[in-house]
Amino acid sequence: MGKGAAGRVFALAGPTLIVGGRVVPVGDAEPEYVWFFRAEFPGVLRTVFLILHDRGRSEDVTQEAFIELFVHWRKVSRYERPEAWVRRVAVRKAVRALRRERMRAVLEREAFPEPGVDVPDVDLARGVRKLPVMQRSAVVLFYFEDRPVSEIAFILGISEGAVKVHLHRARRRLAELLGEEVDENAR
Amino acid sequence: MPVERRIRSGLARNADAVDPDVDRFLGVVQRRARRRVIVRRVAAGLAVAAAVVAVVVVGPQVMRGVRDLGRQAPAGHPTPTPGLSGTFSRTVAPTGAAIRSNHMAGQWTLRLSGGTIEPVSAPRAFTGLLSTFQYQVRGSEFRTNLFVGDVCLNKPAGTYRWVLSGRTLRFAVVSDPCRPRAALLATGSWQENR
Repeated sequence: MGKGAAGRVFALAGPTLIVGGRVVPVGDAEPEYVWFFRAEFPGVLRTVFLILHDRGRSEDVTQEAFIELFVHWRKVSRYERPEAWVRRVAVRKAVRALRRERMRAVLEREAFPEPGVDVPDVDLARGVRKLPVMQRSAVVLFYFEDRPVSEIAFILGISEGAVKVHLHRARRRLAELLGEEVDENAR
Repeated sequence: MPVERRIRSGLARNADAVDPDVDRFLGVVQRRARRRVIVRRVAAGLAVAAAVVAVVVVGPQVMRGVRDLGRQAPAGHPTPTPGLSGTFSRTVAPTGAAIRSNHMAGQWTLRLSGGTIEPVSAPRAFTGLLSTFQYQVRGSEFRTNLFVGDVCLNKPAGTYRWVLSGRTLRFAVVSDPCRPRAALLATGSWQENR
């Protein structure tokens, strides 16, 4: 076979799509994406799990976030911090999923489901589950991911002041639930 | 123990309970993501194709309508219409397919002035364009492109005979390929408003 169009088609690696007679590679930016996925997926999944406390749904939400990242990879990979973008997408999806779940429980007049117990610190998991959605997310991003308040505000789409209020209230509520002391000067 | 320390250590320990098989998830995500990319590209291609078809099919009709409008009342050459001007009203009965299918039954008011005919009020159910159109009067002949924008799209102007007796205006169809327009204008008399 010569060097015609057909030859080029067969030379392309990975899946391709023919749109209007033009051959379009679907996964031509994948090596970078694969590297990024391996580096970031576990961390994002753990963060989402700490917010949702449901392994299956956490996996679904995190996969959805990384699918969106794949679709927008050419653009997002040029950002200064692509990991902040995918975290923002994942956490927001988790927040939406939680709100839907709570709304459904209210509408169906059902008790809110009990937290899973397959974690080492069950009491903390139960305490975190009792927090409102935004407090819960702020606590996970601040104490687990060690993100600064400004970044938490970006991820949650709220002001820095609102993040501080959520953290303050969450600390007090968790101290009460866990029987621990609050250090008001602690960050 | 300060609650902050408990939260940090507890969250870290609970997070360690999650140890994903990254390669398995990578495969799943790549498969689903590729499928989504393909669906999006196909949808975008279809949207472009639909736009092209719309331009090819509808474009000439619109252009003909515009040309027709220009032919009936060339800009810069307003036709004097000394014999007919004023505001006229009539109630259109819900009879005839042309009236019913275009929801034209009800109270209509037309203003005719200086070669411009404008439906200033129409039944609420009528969904056609209430804009300004043109008319010409030559002796007892009346020509108009009323509703050329939609109800009479791509139809040439209609020709009528007209007679004004006192405050009552009557049209009789000479030729009009647009049946809704003919039904509106010529199936009853118009009363002049003062």
